[in-house]
Amino acid sequence: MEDDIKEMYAKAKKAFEEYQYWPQERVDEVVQAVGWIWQKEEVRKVLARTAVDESGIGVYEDKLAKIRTKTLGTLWDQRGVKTCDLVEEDKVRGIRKYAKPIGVVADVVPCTNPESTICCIGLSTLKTRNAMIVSPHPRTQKSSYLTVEYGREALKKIGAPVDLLQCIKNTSQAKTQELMAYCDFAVATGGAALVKVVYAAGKPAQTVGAGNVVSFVDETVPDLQATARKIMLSKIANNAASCSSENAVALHASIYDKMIECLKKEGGYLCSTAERETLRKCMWPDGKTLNRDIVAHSAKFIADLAGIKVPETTKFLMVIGEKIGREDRFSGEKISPVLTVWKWSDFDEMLDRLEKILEFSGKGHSVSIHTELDERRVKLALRAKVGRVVCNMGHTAANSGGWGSGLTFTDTLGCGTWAGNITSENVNWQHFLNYTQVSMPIKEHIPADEELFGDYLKKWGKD
Amino acid sequence: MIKAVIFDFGQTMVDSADGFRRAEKDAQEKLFGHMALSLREKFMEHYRQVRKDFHGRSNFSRRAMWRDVYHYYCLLPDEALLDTWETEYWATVKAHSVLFPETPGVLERLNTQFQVALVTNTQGQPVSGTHRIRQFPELESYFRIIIVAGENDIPPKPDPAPFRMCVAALGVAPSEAVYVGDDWRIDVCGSRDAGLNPVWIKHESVRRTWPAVTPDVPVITRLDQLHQLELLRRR
Repeated sequence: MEDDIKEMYAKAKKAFEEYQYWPQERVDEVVQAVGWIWQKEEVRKVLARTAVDESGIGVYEDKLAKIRTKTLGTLWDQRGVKTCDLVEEDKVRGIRKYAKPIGVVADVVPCTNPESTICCIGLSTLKTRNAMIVSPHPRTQKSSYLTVEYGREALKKIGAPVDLLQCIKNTSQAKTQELMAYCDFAVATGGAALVKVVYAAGKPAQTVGAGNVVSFVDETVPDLQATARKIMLSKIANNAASCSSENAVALHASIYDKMIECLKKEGGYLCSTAERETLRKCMWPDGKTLNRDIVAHSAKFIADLAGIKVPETTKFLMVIGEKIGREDRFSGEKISPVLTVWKWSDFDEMLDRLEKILEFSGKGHSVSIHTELDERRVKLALRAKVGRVVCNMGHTAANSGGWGSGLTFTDTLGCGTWAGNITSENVNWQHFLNYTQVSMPIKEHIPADEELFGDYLKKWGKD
Repeated sequence: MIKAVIFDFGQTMVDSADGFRRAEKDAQEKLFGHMALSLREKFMEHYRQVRKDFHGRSNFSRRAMWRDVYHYYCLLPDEALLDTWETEYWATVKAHSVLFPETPGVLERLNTQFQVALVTNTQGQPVSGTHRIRQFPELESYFRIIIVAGENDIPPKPDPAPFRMCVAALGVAPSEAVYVGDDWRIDVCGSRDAGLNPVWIKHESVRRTWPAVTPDVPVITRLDQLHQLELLRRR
C-alpha cells in the first residue's frame, strides 16, 4: 500500500541496520554520490521547476541556485569530518569518544524550501549513518518526492541501501504525526505551530522558530548604496520565502533619508500612510493572521492584490514602523518582500525596541547589522536573544551558510530555547549523532578547596 | 436465490444532496474567512482536491479534512472551533435531508420477501451512534441489521468487511444478497468485491455529476424500480 508509514519505517530500519556499521570511506562515498546528483544542473532544473509550479511560490532561478549552494555547502562543511567509530580521544582524561547514529529520522519539510531542505538534512543524516523519511508539505509534495527519488537513484548506483532515503508520496497531517511517532528522531523545519506538533509526538527533535530579522544600518557605513543593494538582493531572494530574509531595517537618523533614497533606487517602494493601511488589510485580513496568499509572492503581485499602484520595477515594498506587537503586525514576520523601516538615534534605545520586536516575533532567530563599529556588533550580540548576528552582509545569503560567511550551511535554523528548540545553531551533521564514551582509569586527583574556591575564599573568607 | 436486500443510506434512501451543498458552502465560507485568505478560486481548487482525496480514502471526517486544508496553508486550526463547525455541518445536513417518498413503501414490501439490512459509512460525525439514520426512527424497524462502517473498528466501505459482517449476521451467503447504493466506487464496487450483487441507484431527484463508467450491474433511478428487477423476482 502506498505510504504505509509502518512499512516505510520497517524498510528504513532495515536499511539503517545495514548502514550503521559502514566505515567512514564508504559513508563519504555515499554523501558524495547523493550530493553529486542533487547538484547536477538538469536535476536542479527539474526540482526547482516542479517546486515553483506546484506551489506557486518562490522564484525558479533563485531555487536553482539555492539547491546547488546548499548541497555543495553542506558537503563542504562535512569534508574530512569523522562521523564513524572513534572520533575523539582525550588521553589526559582517558576518554575515547565513539560516534553512533540515531536510527531513522523523520524530516518534516516546508513548502518554502521543499528541495534544498532535503539536500541539507539528507546529506547530514547520511554522513552520520542514519536513515531518513521525508514528510513533505502538501503544497510541494511532488518536488520533495522527486528530490528523494534522485537521492535513491544515487544510492542504488553505488550499492548503498536505497531505503536510507524515503518520502511520503501523498502526505497528510495524520501521516506526518504517524511518521514522527514511529521514527527515532525528528527534524522539522517550520514555524512555532509545527514545533508544538513535533514535540507532541514525544520524540527527541530538532525544530526551528520563526524569523523576523531586523537589519541595523548605522552612520559608519561607508557605502550606503552598496548596503542597500545587499539588503535588496537578500530581501527579494526567492520572494522572501526564507526565514532569514530581512523583515525590517533599523536606520540611524543621520543616514535615514539617504538610505531610504538608496533603497528606493534598488527597487523599494515606500508606501504612503493610506497605502500602508491598504496593504495591512490585505496582508492581515482578520487583523492577526498573515494572509497565506501573499507569502513568497512578488512585491508587484502583493501590491496588485492589495490594490496599490506601484511601478512595474518595484522589487519590494516598504512601510514605516509605527508600533510593536499585535497592534501593528508590520513589526512581525511577513514572509514576503515587505520591509518595515525603523528609525533610531540612540543605539541602546533601538536595542530595547529590538527586544520587544523579537519578543513579539522572531525570538531566537537572527539579526543583522551594517556598521564599522565592532563594539556595536558585540553589544548587539550580547543583548539580542538570537542565535546569529550577521554583520555587513546580505542576511539571507549568509545566515544559513554562504560562501562569504562562516556560518554552517543549512535550511534548518535552530532558535534555541527562546523558540522552544533544543539548539540555537544551524542544524547540520553534528545534530544527528549519539556518542559512546569509553573511560579508562587515570591518575586520581581530588582537588583541594583552594583549587575550587580560591578566589571566593580570598574575598569572602571561609565563614 | 436472493435472500437479503441490503441498503446504503445517503442518496439511496434519503436525499441529502441539498443538505450537503448547504453545509459545504457554509464550511468553505468559515474556513476561508478564518484562514484570512484572499484568493478564493485557489482556495476552492485546493479544498475540492482535499475533499476528493478524503473521499477516495473513504474518510468522511470533516474535521480531519479541514485540518489538512489548514495544514496546506501552514496554519494550525483551533480544534474547538473545528468541533463546533463539524457539529453545525451535520446539523445543516440533517435539517435538509428528506426521505425519498417511495422509501417506506419499498422497505415495507421488501420486508415481506427478504431480510432487509443497512450498511452505511459513518460520515465522520464526532460521536459514534449519531449517524443520520437516527433521525429517521421510523425506518429503523425495517432493518434486521444496521452496520455503521467506520465506527467501532469496522473499516469503512468499500472495504469488504462491513458487507461480509452484515451477510454473516443475516445468515446468508454474499451471493444471496443484493446491495443497493449510489456511490459507484464505495457501494457498487465495494459490495461486488465482497461477493454481493450490486444495484446502482442513480436517483432521479438527486442533482449530482455521476462518474462516467459503463455499468455492468443493474441501474435504477427510483427505489421502487427494485421490484421490477429480475434479480429480485427470481425468488
